[in-house]
Amino acid sequence: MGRDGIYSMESLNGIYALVVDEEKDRRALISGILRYCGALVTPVETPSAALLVMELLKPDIVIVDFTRPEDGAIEFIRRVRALKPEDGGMVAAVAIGDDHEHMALARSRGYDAYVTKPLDPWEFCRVLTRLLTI
Amino acid sequence: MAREPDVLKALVGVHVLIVDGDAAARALLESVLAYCGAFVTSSATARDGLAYFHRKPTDVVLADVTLPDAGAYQLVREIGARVPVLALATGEGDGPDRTLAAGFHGHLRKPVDPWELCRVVAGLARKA
Repeated sequence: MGRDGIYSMESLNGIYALVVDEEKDRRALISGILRYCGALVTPVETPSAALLVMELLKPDIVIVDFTRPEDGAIEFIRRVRALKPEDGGMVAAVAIGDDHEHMALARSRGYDAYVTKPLDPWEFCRVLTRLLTI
Repeated sequence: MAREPDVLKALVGVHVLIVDGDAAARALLESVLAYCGAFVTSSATARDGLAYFHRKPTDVVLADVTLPDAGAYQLVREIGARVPVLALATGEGDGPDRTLAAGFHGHLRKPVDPWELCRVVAGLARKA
């Protein structure tokens, strides 16, 4: 049971999430949370690896480390948003960071949501569920 | 945003053979089909795929049409009468007109919606 009551382990069933984070343990943690909530997850280390995945499969959501946005997260979303809709250009995108001042930057560059660390697993799944049901 | 919880068990009991020369692509496609309940095996070449199929026929074959030496077309010529073969194509060259005329039973263009992939494979398995 989560702190805010029972939360469905199936809340992200049928959602394909692409997780982009260069830090191995963090990538595994985020992927683990999403899988626990039912998602199909592909974790990758770099934005360029994520773009390669997106040449084959269209994710429902991309989740990108935004700790140092200039290291690739901004360029990544620019390239994603430049794709045609049928190639994944409209995918939902979430930035994860630890600096509230980055929130406006992430939104202005094309991310749909900004989630701050440390992650609350249940709140994280709830944020994604809300974003995907808009 | 569409969510696709209905596809989760769409492929339970379905054996799919993936034939794709790219190891990363094989792993990604396998993860999608397995998520939807399929039992998945994969081969890197048309030759290996055919060898596997002749030992253990599968319910559906998914073949990348960019395999070297037109391997996917060779594959569909050899086993297309026995099993549905789904073409996985890029946006260039091998369009659905060409693949379907060559005997493929379905055609998907990269990048693929994973849930559409599961639905199409499930439809082909039901017809088999």
